[in-house]
Amino acid sequence: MKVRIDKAALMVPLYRAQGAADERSNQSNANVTACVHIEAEDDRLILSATDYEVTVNAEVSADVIEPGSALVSAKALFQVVRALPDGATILLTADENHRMRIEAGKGYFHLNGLPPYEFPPQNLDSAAGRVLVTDKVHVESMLRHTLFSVSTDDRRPAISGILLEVEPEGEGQVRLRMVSTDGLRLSKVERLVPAPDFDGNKTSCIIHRRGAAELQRLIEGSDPALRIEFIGRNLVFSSDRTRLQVRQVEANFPDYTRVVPDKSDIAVTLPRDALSTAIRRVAMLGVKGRDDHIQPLKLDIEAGRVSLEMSFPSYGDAHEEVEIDSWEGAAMKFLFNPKHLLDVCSVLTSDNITLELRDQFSPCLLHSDEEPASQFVIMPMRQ
Amino acid sequence: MSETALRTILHADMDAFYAAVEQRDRPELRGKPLLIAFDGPRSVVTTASYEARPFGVGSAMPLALAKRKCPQAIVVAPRFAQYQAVSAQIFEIFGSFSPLVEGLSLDEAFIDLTGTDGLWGSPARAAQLLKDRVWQEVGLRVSVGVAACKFVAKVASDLRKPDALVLVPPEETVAFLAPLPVSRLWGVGEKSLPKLHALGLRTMGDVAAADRAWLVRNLGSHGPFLQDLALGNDDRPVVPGREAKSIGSEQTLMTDVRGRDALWPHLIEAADTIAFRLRREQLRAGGVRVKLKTADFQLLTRQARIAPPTSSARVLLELAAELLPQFDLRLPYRLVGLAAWDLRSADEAVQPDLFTDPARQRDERLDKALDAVRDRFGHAAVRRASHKQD
Repeated sequence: MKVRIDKAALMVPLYRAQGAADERSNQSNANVTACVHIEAEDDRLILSATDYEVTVNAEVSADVIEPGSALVSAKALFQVVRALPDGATILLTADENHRMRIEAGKGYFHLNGLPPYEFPPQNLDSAAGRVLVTDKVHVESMLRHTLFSVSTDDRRPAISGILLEVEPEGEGQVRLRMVSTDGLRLSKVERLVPAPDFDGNKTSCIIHRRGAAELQRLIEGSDPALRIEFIGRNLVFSSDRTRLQVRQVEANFPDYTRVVPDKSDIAVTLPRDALSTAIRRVAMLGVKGRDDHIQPLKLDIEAGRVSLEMSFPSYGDAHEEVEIDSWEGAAMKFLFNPKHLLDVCSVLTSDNITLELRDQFSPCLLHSDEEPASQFVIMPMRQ
Repeated sequence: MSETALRTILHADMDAFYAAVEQRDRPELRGKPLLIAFDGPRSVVTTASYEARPFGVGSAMPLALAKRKCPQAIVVAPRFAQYQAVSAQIFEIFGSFSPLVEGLSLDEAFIDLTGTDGLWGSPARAAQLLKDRVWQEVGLRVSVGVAACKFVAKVASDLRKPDALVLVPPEETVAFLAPLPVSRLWGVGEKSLPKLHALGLRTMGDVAAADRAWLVRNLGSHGPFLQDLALGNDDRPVVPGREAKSIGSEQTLMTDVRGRDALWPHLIEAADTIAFRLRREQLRAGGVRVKLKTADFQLLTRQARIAPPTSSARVLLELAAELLPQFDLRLPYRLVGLAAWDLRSADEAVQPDLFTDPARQRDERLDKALDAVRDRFGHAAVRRASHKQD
């Protein structure tokens, strides 16, 4: 294999592929799941990586001098290429001992590799799947509103990913829904999108957070269209000459309808920026893992204002206030994990945010009028 | 290191603590070989008095073996509540010397005396004063080591037990450690000792003098770590307030058992005991640990976090049930234990789960009802129905 390619062109597919390679075996190239497979043919390179759950195949145009393939550590290659000078033209060659030579200007590197045939073959019968083609902006905002609240605890597989539901709505439209939870909070977002070619029934699956994070990388590209295929136990996303295959999590997502509360009588609307600034300020003393016990944020809601308070046994306490216009009810107090409130403030882009409250034992619903199809549920803390 | 090099760390270790408390409280036991243990066919010695130790008897030894080695020994059942009370008294004395007291167990603590010269005089004086006060006020002997870091202080207190006072001035640290065997290095156990010996490293002096790169090649990152200790470089701080790190309950079984069904009743028992103690002490646990000891004395543990923190026996058990399959349950086990860790005050705010099974909340009420009965009639008065089988 011998290929000439610009650094900038190579970085795009390499960035995507190294994300799919298994992080846990990053320093070792003894394992194919830590490697990127490079195939040079015609006038293009195909970079592939897999950890058997998530698989990426990313294609890029290149000047192929001699076709062939190579299998080298994804992290190592990524680090080397990233460190090369911007604008450099790179010459990649692989020898019969599976060593890859990376040359740019006067510098060169050698990476020891594995026999390329050790990379597992990917043979999915794409003819069998249902296909949905949509504008990726929908998926982009849905991911942004759900990825942050996915559980990071893999002992709970059912919530280790985002629930994706597709419901045909007639007239060439489908309702896409994404739901995520870490057991303490939940995010649910819906979009009605045109999908004239979708011919399936209601479909739902769980995309593991690693696959969802890869999807986020994928749609950073310039191609506006995103193709989603449901093939057996797999989901395949394609965009921008890249194919991302994610194995669905085989578990039952918990019944989210049970915990998303109805509208409440007690609703308080706050300016989003002011609220998030105030939370950041009062939570300051508690950050940076000084204390892994989460201190509650006290919200005191009364006519004309919401006061925020946090106290930290070993440091002191902090107070802030946010003005509100509409509050008719009696004064109320709530405790929240400040991060839960802050995360929702961060993913929304609206001017205001509304908290619908019942009592300190019931979930609180957060939403904004400008993005009504996104709902966030957080569970108050209890003293 | 510049700031920490000038520290004065004292390590205090009570001499044969449980046995000494029994001998203090029961004069007829003084001067006699004593084994503190529940008297059963499979129990283990928790402490042997100094009179018993020349017979080759020590803690963690099976009681049956200890009795063979020292047939004249008197076996006394432990009274943990009493040891806890005495420990609290001792820690109060420790705390009067410095606010920085890090308890390692009921009978062992590090005390950071840095900057207390004005109060107690030289480190030697302070150490003697501490020993005298423990003797006068509690009637027990304590061995003390004083050095510039935790590791050396601990080695020093252990060197001439019992009733020892060993002072290692900072400038003599390396010379003090040099002749000591490598087995006294922190983290050197049965596995690494032969390896060190094979490399010709028999004393701490050998380790201190070795080429650092050579150590890395032969021992990996453990090498420089051991060399730092052998040179007396240990800047771990004294972290106060660690005494109540966990609440545990364990049982050495009458016969070795295999399989989940045989272990499970013991875990139920332990969870009930622990949950009761958590609630009595107004605590909740943020983690749970299952401990099993194999028939050949290998101690295995698995642990997990609990969110939200709990004092419910049922929740502790749920976690234990998840941890149990991580052990090889085909092996025979001789000890089953459960411990709650990451303890925190019960009035701290907790984050409830969105999907929490309402049964859990019912269970908290059940736990409280059980506690009320136990407070009146004792711990054995009520048990869960799932105990009935045994």
